[in-house]
Amino acid sequence: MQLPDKYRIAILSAYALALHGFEAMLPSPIPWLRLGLANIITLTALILFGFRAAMMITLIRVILGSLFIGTFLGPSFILSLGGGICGTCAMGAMLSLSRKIFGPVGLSLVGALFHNAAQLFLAYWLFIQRVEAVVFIAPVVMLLGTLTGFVNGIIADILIKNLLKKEPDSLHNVAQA
Amino acid sequence: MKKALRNTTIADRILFLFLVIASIAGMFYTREALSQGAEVVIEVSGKPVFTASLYTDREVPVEGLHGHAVVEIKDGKVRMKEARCNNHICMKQGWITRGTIVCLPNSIVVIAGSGMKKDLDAITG
Repeated sequence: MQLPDKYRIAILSAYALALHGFEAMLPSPIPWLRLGLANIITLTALILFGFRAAMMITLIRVILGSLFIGTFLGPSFILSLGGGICGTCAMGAMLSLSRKIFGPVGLSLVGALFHNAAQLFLAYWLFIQRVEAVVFIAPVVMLLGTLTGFVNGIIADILIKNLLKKEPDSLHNVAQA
Repeated sequence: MKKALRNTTIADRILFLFLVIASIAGMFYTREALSQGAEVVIEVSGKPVFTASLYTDREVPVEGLHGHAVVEIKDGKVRMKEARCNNHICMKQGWITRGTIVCLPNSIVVIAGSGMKKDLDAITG
């Protein structure tokens, strides 16, 4: 990993953390509904700087974010970590499998879907252990995740386009995007 | 916003539509599937004395405070068939598929469709 990469990861992690903390403060009509704003940064990093950077940023964001909010090693931390890792892996796999087919919006949708799937699985496995509750809640979570994932994907798309317009030379991993 | 929408690929849009339709269909499907597993619980003086599926037809004799009562379960519905009380409000309520039948003088409560509890189990962050 080169030195400029480290700076980028640090800056993007800071953005992701800020969004994560901002989101935690937002009042939400449903307690477990999250907007997943930090996923915008993960997606941007994935497309511009590759999978390793995106995974780094996700891990830094989840661990530091839970330390700041005060949920470190609690149940919501485990769910957040599992969902973050699974979602990032799914987006990375999707990007390398089909670089041309899916744009940022599609990747965001895939990421949101796998994030929610991992969280539901972990919640069932570790905490709830009532299959009918998970089955009942799964489609609702899926619908909300699809809607927020769609919006996040559009925001990430705009962000990536603007970053590319501003400094096309310094972004190396982007010829295909 | 329109410009951003134009930037999505066809696969993006198909995926989005597929996920939305699948999740809405899933909502209806799970609602249907879970109501199949609905249960009948009969409580006397607040203590559950009988639990069974709503889909096995049977008549259940219950001993209330004022004596004998009969709850009938048939075709996914439940009713109070007989009860020894003054006004028979419970019997007049007829067949129900979900909700409760209360016979206050006998202190009998029949709860249908209680297979699901929508408690909050965890909050993710």
